[in-house]
Formats: sequence, structure tokens, C-alpha cells
Amino acid sequence: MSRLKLSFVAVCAAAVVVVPGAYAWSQTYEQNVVWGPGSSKISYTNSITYNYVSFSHPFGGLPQMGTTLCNTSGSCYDWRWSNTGLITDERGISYGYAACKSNLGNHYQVYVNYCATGNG
Amino acid sequence: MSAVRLTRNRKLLLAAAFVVAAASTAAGVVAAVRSNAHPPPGVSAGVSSLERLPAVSTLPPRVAHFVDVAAQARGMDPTRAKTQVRKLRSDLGKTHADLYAFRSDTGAACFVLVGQVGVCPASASDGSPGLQWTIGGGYLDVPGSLVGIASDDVKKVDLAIDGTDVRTSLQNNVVFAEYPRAGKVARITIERRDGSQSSVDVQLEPSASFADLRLLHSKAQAKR
Repeated sequence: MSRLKLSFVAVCAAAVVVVPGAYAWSQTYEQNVVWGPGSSKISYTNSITYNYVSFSHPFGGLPQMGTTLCNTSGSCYDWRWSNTGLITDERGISYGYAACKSNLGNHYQVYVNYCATGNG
Repeated sequence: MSAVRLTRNRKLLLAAAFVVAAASTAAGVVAAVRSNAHPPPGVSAGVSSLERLPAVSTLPPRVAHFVDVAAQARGMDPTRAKTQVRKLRSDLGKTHADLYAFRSDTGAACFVLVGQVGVCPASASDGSPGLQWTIGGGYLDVPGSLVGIASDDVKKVDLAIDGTDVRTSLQNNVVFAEYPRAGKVARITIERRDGSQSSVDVQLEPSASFADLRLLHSKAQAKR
């Protein structure tokens, strides 16, 4: 194979590897579930620029939900809580995972519409 | 004879005064009980800054992105929502963040503290009476914070972290406070102009309790 052909193949191979990373990534990592106090879920690992937590309280009270981001060594930002959603976590993390959680102090169950994260 | 008439008049006056005083006291008690028992839910008493302040003509990209997401989540046209955004506070806290807000079609005050957090309640009556809030969110060297939209009938909002009072500010319907990240329990007290108040307790779950997430993460890694 000539050098030109080899170069072409190399460029194509590099494009295949690099281009997917250029697209925005997103994941809905939890949806349509009922949570008691202390339940949580995490996303896959990636570069993260947002985490959305949407919930409602059809079972009464004002249960609280939280969002956070963690790096791969398990070091996490502090939880950001509210008793009304949608919450949008506007912090970012270069490489890690997102999480959503129902507060340990909740006296009522909470309906989680979705927890979704991504970048771009 | 005239002395008798004066006495009668005095008695009548006293009786009338007594009736008026009793009625006034009863009305006051009823009003106080009502306001304590059923304060207006969420921010349904109104958020006048969303009309009083001018709409922002050019939105920063991150604010525009928040409005896109929040408006769609609440069934509102994002283009129209973007014409209604107000900048309610500037230069807040350690990150010097600005706070932008708009009223959703359901009357909720959707707001974003740029670079930190956004909240878009389902309706004006969603959330704590008088305050749609979010708390926590410290990271790196950024402290935790309380940020929220208070309705017009709120006189002040107090915050205590682990029993220690934290200074708060209330301006243009926005409540803001910062506190050290190590806090475990927050108490938010909302005091209305009629003298009634309500409070919310929040377990902040600081970073010491992240063991569960580490466990979840290692399980997820093992599954892949």
C-alpha cells in the first residue's frame, strides 16, 4: 500500500474515532418512578455540562429532590436541593457522572419524572 | 333627670365600645389563624419584579439555554419566554453570578443563577408558601447557597445552618445567602408581612454521605 493510501486510511480511522466525541451526548438515566426517602440513581460517565431533575409530589407534602456531579474517583459536589422541580444543575464536570436523589428527610414519596444529563 | 340620662348614655357608649372591641379582636384572631393555617401557596401572592423591571434584550447563551429547557418543560413557547426574561439580581456570592427569571404560563417564577442552578416550578402555587427555593450546591471553593424567588407578601427570609444564623438578602423578590460547605441541616424561615411565618428543614447531606453514590458507581462499572 502506498504512503498516500496509508495516510488516507489513517485519516479516515482517526475521523471515526474522533468525530463521535464531537457530538453532544445525553442520557436519561431515570424516569417515571416513585421514590421513598434516600433513593438515588447515577448516570454513565462522560463530560457533563448539565443535569436535570424533574419531579412532582402527587402523594402529598413537599418532598425534596437533589442533584450533584461527581468525578470518577467519587469526589462529588455538594447536593443542590429543592422541593419544586424542574431543577437544572448548571455546574459542569470535565469527566464524571451525574446523580439525582430524594432527600433522606422526606416524609412523602416523590414521583420522579426524569433525571437527565449530558453535554453540549 | 339629666344625671340619669347621662348615665344611660355612658352605659350605651361603653356597651358599643365593648362590642366594637370584641368584634375587632375576634376578626384579628380569625385573620391571624387564617394566615398561619393557610398562607398563599408558592408565590401565588405575586412577584412584582417580573413586571416592574425591564425585559432583557440580549440573553447570555447559558441563560438562553436555560429558558429553552425550562419553557419546554412547562409547555411554553421558548421564543416567547425569552422576550419576558428579567435580570433580578447581579454579582451574587463568590462566583459573582447574575440571576435571571421569567414567568411561565402557569405563573411560576422560573429562575437561573448563572453557572450554578436553575429552578422552574410547575406553577405559581408549587413549593413552600412564599418562597420557591433551592439550597446547597457548594463545589470546589464555592460555598453552598440559598437562592429563591419570594412573593410580594414576604417580609424577610431567615436561614440557619446547624442552628447558626446566616445573613440573607432579599431584593427584587430574590433571596440569596451563602454559607460554609460543611453544614448538615438548614432551616429556612419565611416571614410574611401579616406577621405569620413558616419554615422548611432540609438535610443538606454534605460530601461525607457520598459513600452510597460511590457504591452505585462501582456497581455500574462492574455491570459494563
